[in-house]
Amino acid sequence: MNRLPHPRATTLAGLAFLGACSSVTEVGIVAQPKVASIYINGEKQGSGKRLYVFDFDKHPRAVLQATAYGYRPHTEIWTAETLDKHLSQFAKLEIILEQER
Amino acid sequence: MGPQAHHRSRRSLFAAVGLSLLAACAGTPKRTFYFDAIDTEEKPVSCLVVIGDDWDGAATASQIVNVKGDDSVRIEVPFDAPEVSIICAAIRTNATTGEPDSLPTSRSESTEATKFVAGTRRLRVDDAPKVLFILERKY
Repeated sequence: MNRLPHPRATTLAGLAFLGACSSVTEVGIVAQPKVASIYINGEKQGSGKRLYVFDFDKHPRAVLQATAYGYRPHTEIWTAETLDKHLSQFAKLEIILEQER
Repeated sequence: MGPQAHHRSRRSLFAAVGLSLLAACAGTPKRTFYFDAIDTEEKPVSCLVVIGDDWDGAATASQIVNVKGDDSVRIEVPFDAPEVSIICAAIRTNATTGEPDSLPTSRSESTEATKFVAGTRRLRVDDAPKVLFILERKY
């Protein structure tokens, strides 16, 4: 007799599959100087040091920006692939703003 | 060719034209984005938002942001290529009326008039809807 898999087993397998395909990554972001404001996808996140969950399922690219008075603004674009590659070498994202001349 | 055959061929022609028009429309996806611009002090900067170097089109459609207060401009961007270039060029406004003095027709004209360097971005259809430019001053 053919037996159908237990519903709970099917659900767990489904969740594991989704988890494996998910492109959600939590990353620490540090900006220098500490007063620098951090923006992700156009939204202000705070200043200095933040923890952010990148959801690449929602938008495949994330725009990370930092700005502080007296410094040159900085913009970076990240994808799930480039972020994974970066995090395999570094523990966090670090932005050091260059002073205006 | 008999009259029936003539009608049939005319109907086919109309159908073909209709289908190609539909295909042309469906071929250019459009997506709404909200553009905003600030300076390094995070104060709003009045800007003209230019899609694909169409400065005249941006002026005609009044694609301007932060002219009478802190806001964002909503623009439906057509994607005729995987990436569309966006320019955010600062504009000079009248101190009394708050209206734009004149709209720039190039990045250098904008920098000349405002001392802000125009921001650029290559936008994709699936990018986040809020697009922020942080403009730096030219020294």
